[in-house]
Amino acid sequence: MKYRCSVCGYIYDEDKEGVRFEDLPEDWRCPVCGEGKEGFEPMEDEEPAPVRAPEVQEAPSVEEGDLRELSAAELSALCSNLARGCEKQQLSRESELFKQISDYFWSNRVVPDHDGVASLLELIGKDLEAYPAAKDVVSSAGDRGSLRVLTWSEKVTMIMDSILTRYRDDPSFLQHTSVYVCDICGFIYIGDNPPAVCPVCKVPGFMILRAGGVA
Amino acid sequence: MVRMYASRNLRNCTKDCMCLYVCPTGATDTETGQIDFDKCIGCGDCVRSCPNGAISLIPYTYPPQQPKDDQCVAAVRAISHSKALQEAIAEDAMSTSDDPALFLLMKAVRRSNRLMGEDLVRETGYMLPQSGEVRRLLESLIANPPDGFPVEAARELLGLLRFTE
Repeated sequence: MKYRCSVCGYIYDEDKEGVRFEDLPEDWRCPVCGEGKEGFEPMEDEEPAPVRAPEVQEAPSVEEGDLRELSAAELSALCSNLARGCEKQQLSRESELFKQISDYFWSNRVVPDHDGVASLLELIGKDLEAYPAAKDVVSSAGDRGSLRVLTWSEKVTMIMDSILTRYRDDPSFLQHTSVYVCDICGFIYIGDNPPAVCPVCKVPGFMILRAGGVA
Repeated sequence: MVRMYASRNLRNCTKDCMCLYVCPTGATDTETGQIDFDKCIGCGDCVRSCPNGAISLIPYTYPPQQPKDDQCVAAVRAISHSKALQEAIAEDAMSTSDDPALFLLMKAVRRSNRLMGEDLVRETGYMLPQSGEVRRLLESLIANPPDGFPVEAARELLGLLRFTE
């Protein structure tokens, strides 16, 4: 019997592990994302998921000029990504210039009033509510690129939600461990042995970089 | 055919030197480790001869990008906006924290949100640095620069990048 983590997709295979899932201790956690046992679902015998008829939705109308203006922080991310793109093309001067513009926008960001982890969890909760509708919109438009980024960032956000909730409930869980971030999709891994392949974007493990460790 | 130049991925280069043997212009033999793009004629011989797959060809010019639907841009942008807020909150929480565990967690959350934000925003039409969207963005920033905006950097970019449209 196999069990799949509903947060990151990690599969616990009873045959390979030699321990039945129900015999694992109650405080056992997903080795990839730290989700508890309750977040695992038994896998049926690989039956393909029933094809869900796409719900026909009245798409919200977007008026000219109705698109949300990019904030200074978003413009900073836009430009740091263009800097990365130039770097890949070996355009070092162009990359430097985009970094300069990115830094300018970051220095003009607005920091909202906040309550740290609690505020982050609140925003994350809203994001997780927004993903399904956003994915429907881009799917029906046939925009696979947007569907890709929404799929990846939804998974990364679910894992972040699970990690921050765990920290809020028991801050000591971060002691004596390292923290890694996938440099491609942003997947956060808590532990000392990051996976060989990123569970979200499938990039090789050497792109999962250590953010640091707490002794 | 699009004109291209060879580029070496230094992470993969194991100095087998096949590219030095086959290069007709000597562009691969440099003191920097990278290929001399000015000498390279884009013949691709080094790409085919490298036993470690460390060299690829980069185009000088790119095709126009796929247009983006307004509905999709609006849907993705609503989420990128939230990621940018979270990045700013995480950084603020990081700089005011005296708990090393929280500091580390906020550092990871900040980085993760930056990466997600970059990826989301690029999918709204800003993937390629040479795209028409980027050109129009730079031009509008030069025409109406916000306070303290580095106009010279934007002007230099307009001059350097070979835009698709």
